[in-house]
Amino acid sequence: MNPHSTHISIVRSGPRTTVQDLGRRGSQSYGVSVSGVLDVDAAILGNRLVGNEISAAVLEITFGGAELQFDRDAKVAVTGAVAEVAIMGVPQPMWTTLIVPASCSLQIGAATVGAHVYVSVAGGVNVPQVLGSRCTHLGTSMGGHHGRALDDGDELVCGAQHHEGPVPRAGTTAPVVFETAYVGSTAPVRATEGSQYASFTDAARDAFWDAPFRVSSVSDRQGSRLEGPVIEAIGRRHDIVSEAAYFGAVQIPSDGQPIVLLADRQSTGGYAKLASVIAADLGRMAQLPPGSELQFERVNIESAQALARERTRETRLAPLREPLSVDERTFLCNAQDRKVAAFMAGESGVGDELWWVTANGSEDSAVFINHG
Amino acid sequence: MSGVEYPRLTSASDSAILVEFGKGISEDVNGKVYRFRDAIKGSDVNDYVIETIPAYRTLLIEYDAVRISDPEIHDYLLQLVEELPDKEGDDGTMRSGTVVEIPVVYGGKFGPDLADVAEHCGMSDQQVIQIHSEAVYRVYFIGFAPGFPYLGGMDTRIACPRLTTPRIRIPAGSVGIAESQTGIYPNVSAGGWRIIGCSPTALFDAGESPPSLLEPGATVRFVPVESADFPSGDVEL
Repeated sequence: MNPHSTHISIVRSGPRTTVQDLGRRGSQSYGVSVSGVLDVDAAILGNRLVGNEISAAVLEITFGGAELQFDRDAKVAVTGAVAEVAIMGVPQPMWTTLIVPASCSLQIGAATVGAHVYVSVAGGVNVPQVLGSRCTHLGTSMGGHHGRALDDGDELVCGAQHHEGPVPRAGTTAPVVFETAYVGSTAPVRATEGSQYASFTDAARDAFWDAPFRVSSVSDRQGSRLEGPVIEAIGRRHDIVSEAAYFGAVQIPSDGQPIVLLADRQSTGGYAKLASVIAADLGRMAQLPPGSELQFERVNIESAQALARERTRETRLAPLREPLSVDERTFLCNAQDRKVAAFMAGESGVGDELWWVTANGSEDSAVFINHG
Repeated sequence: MSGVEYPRLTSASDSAILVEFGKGISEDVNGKVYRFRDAIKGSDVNDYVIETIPAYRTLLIEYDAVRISDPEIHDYLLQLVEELPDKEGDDGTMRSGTVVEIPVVYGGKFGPDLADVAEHCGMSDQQVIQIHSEAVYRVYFIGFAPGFPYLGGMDTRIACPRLTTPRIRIPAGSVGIAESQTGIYPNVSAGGWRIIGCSPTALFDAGESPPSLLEPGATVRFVPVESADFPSGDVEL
């Protein structure tokens, strides 16, 4: 194992970038929020693409617009919301194992479809664990990098979260073209009946299932607030005796405007829950940026669980796709200050499967050197 | 129309089951929540359980839906709930019954709303302190914020409405009253409760295991003290 760890420099942090993992589990009965990534599928696939444990800590870059540098060649993957990704200005694919050469910039443009971009780095972001997790809960300043969102100039260290097994080579891609499964999809968000479904009138339930809603601009990691028809509980009894809240629960407070609880939710809450977004659609729901329109569709628990199992197979078990062959691969080059350009290609059996593309001074002629 | 029968199991989502033990807030119902939680921990079904979250009258069981289906875990939990002992102590796993004592400096800069509460309730500051510190409170559950205990058992003679405008910043350890509830803020936060005192006792430390001084289901008593060493040294509102 390499005794030296990769360091990440946050050159530009973007509107809100946090260190997240699959959440702080086991402490909700002490009032601790689960938190963690909003789009679990994107984070898991990103981690698999760089040879991490699926629970490794990643960067969640909300709305994109960030720039990172590494002090050595770093294996990374960018997943989640659609954004332009580039290494030293050279466009790179998402959902693909990339290698960012030392001191070169990984640039993430603004998210154009969806809201949350994920960057997984081999080894995982190694911040101290708090109650068994590295995730950041902004509301209580717990975990992550000093309990806060990242700022320009912050430095992070990677390591300790490798998966045991073969490490994917550069150019490896996710098992499915995953973005089509949720980002930009206008399919209804599927939900089951919530624990207080009986507390709502037939008219209120019909309105909830039939009407379009819009994601409000005050939405955050705690909840997606929706604007639409007023959904009234029977006798206007929206307050309940406080009980556990959970990811995907659709609460209806007294103003009748639904709130879909997300990762940073409090562990308990006092509003009636009309519906629960199914596990397979939670990432897609959480990816909807403010202003998005959505509609709900009722499904039963049995179908929801079948969909969840199918999604789990797709994200956690389906084999990653091997890189393209030497003939098919595309070398990317672009002379920059170090005269070292980025690349994205794998080569079987070659050392660290690392291909450098060095430029001989002009942008349009390049010499390939195998540093394997 | 027949009423709801308890305990009642509902599929709250595709990966959680809600078990309700009664309609309202009572020690009897809340006791069942914790006995059931202990029963789950001691059973085979615990392998499929990700986390259980207790509240006043409910227990939410979050489970791994990839490994066990809703009808399967529903049946398992139903059987377990039917076998649940009726009283505390029958299962030998209940809490010891010790009372956690929390020292509180009442009034003055530590409890700026004490005088208002006393006036609202038509009694002296000292009477409010006496009533508040005589009672033994049950920690029904912990929620809202890390380590925040929902306490039951306050004497309604000292009930007082919330502030019209919540404060932006309340120091950690502040003890407050809101309607007929009393509580203690584990961390600095905003809030609208009437603050009658402050405790130097840390309720939550993420570095400790468990992180919360109070376990859900525990009992606490507030002990008036004249002064105390406050860890932050900053308790003024």
